[in-house]
Amino acid sequence: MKTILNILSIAGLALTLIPSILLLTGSLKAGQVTTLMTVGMVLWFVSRTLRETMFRPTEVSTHAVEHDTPHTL
Amino acid sequence: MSTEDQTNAGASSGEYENQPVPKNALKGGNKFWGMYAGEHAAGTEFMIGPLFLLNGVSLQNIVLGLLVGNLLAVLSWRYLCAPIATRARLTLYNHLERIAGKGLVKIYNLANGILFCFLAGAMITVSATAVGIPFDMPMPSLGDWLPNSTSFVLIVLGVGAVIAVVASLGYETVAKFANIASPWMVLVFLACGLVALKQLGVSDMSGLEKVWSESIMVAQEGSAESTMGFWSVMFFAWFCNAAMHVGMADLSVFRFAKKASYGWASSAGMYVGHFMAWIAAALMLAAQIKTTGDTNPVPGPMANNVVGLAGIICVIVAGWTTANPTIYRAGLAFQAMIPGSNRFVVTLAAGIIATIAGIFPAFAWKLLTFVGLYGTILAPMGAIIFFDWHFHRKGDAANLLNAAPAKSFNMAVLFAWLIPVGAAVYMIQTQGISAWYFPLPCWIACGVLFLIFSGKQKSNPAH
Repeated sequence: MKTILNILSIAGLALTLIPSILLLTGSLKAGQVTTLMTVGMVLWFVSRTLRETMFRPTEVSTHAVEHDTPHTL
Repeated sequence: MSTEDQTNAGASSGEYENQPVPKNALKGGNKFWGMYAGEHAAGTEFMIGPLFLLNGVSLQNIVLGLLVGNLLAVLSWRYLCAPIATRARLTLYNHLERIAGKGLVKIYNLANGILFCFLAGAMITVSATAVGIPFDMPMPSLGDWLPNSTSFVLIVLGVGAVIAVVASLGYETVAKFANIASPWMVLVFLACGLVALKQLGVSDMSGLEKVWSESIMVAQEGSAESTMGFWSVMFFAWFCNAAMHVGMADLSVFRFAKKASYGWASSAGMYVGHFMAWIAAALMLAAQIKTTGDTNPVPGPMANNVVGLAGIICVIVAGWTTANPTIYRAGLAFQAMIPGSNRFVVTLAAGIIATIAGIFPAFAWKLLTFVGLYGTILAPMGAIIFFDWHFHRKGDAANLLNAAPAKSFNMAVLFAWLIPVGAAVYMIQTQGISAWYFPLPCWIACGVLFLIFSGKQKSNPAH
């Protein structure tokens, strides 16, 4: 399950970036880019949220360093 | 709760707020690279890049200024902040308390909290411009310092209320969501830049320079005058995070680093967020000017114009994940001012202040000046830590950790801080000198004045 979610996450990121590159090369139209990026966004957030929920890391991660100093700029 | 209890609580939660971070809690380099890359692709980036274009910065100056300024920022993290953090291993507040005293740290906290509220306000404005798109909200324009419509006010109030309540409920959920969103947001910024390039119809650098100059002409209604050159861009890029590097706020981050060389991780934030994202956002405005003639640097419509729904969501998420921890931190700062106060109530109050600030678009339009002012006011406290570390403690953490507690209110620190900052704020307000030129002279002056004022304490590391 973890592997499937990881693959979906990577696919989500790929659909976020690659369409804009294909637009530059003339292989895609602007409307297709916005559609594919929306699909990529949904894929990324769903798969990553499920992954975080189902396979939560046990160690204290970067929260400890982020808690003190939220970077805002 | 006693100090000992607080120390134990801090240690058990893995945050070590009142003691040096022990060796077994140190973290690997990957966490720092990931954190910096994600944290610096934030809501502010949607505003800063376009504001460069509107100030008439040439393409050459923006690229060279950002390359050099960001390099200086990275070197500041690596050679000023990280070495002290990895030897003392204390938070900024704990470190400062040992030099300046608890009372003075409260004043610093108050300044921090107020500035955080206004910064969060600008981010609420940013998010509202995206939320308002489906409601046909009239977007505020650069000339609008006051709210331009009732619908804008209502949407800002709605967005601000959600952000304030969520921040008041706690930090964990939003921090996790921000971690999830970060890699996606970085790629959306890049995609926005690429699509904007396509919309601009350029195929080489000379074509891009031509379109860029034309955009400046349109934005400035026929004038190609630049109010920001190479030095402005360079100093802005160097000091927009002055409070974090030379201001030593990131002692709190690098105290978890195994080695000072992890300071190089800041380059991920600078060259992803403060180079790629700023230029991408500026290109988005150039594309908007070319396709619609609209020169308003309003993030929601700009992102919608290039990548549609993903862009709108990115603006909302970026504004929200920036405003939320900022309000949370402002709440903590205010809470430290009022012993025994309820964190939920205080954070909610900070959120309300931020929301009221968000109603006024001026805070977003004046973001460059605000960020410069933020660095000018907060960064000099880092000079106190730096000069104290190298001249009084001789770079030895034991001299700091074993010293007797500082007086509650170290007047040498107070005057060393207030004199240069007061002079700088006066010059910014009355002489109209750009705020981003002042963090460096204020930092140096503050450090030198601290050494002079605390001269008698040199031989006594207790103070």
